[in-house]
Amino acid sequence: MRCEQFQRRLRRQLDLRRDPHEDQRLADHAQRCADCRRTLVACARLLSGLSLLELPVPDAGFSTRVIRQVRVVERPSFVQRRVGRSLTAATVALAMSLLLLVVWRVSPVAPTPAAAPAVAVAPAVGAEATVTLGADSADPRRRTNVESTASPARADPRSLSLLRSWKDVWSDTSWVAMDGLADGLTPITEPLTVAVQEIRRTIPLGLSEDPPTSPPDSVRCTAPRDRSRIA
Amino acid sequence: MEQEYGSGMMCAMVARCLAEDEAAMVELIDLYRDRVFRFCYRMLSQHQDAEDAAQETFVRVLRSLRTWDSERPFEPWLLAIAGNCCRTMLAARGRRPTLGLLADEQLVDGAPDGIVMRSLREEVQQALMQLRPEFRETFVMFHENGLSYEQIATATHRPLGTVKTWLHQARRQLMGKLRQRGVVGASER
Repeated sequence: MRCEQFQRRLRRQLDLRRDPHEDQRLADHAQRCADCRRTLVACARLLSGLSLLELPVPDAGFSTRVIRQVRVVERPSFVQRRVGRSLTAATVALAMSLLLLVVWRVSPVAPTPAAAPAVAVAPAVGAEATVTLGADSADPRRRTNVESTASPARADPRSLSLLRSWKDVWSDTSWVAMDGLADGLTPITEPLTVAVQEIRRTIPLGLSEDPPTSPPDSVRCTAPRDRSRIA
Repeated sequence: MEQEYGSGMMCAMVARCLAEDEAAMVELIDLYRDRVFRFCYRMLSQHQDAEDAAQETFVRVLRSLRTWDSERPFEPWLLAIAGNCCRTMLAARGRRPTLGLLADEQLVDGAPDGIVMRSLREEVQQALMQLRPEFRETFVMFHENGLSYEQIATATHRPLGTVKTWLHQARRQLMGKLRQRGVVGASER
């Protein structure tokens, strides 16, 4: 038997959970080869040492502690909490959108005197926006600002008129049929009205009677400057 | 153990545990407590850590009993969870486990012929703790818990060949360390 064969046979004996010392062929080779003999002895010592290893036991009351811990309601993990929060936010946003949609859908069908003039006014406002654009076109910087602010009005006149009608219905206090609903929605609609006014103030959409005197910082056009710098 | 206990009885016990039967849970814990604790102790080498890991193992096991495949033996699945707990603890510890029992300077460098049993046990334990965790896990599962290669491969989610290599490496390194430490006496040289 060669040393490689000895190694293979030793490995097989260990795999079969047999004592290598009991194998005669291994013992014969170990008699002739000092290195393999040391390996065989080390293996025997290892197995003896393993059988001598202490067998520790857990402290008393182990099972009780485990059961108690299992009974504790598991706290959601960080990811679960985060997902939960996101879902809540998405649900709230969806609910708000639905509410807005409902209000928006209800308003044109309602028999209000305010809805009719709203649609009629819409082209005039569009024209006004065009005129404003023409008047300011001398100043390139101002023109850019006006273009950027007036572009939504030019984009879709139908949605503009719808928006206007919605706005008129919203601000119409003489609409008796909606009074009951409006009372119930007051806590929600008031902040929404403020928000809408704020949006109108910032981005006039060509509807505002008093256009902003100075363009907001975010609208200020820096692109031409950058382009000239590059040139 | 499970062969003795019978897989049918095991399934019945698991079913009772799933039905929130506390007596069955205690029975299950008592059945495997010592083996799991011993495995954790070999992996972590500290009594308190081993107890924490064993406790965490059983908590996880009882909470995820539904995921146990009753076609497969229970103990490898249990030890796989124990192995995960131990690895998590070792990672949290951020270093290899140190053995407080035996400092290097306490060990004899010579080659004592009549090595006492206590010393041999400590030497083996010391050598075991110096192994890489995955080698140690494989070695303990095979030689102490009596799992087969296939069961270890399933438990550790490693290919069979990797398990065989790890076990072989573990044995080789252990024997090498014992020889290095002079555990193999002069008469055998």
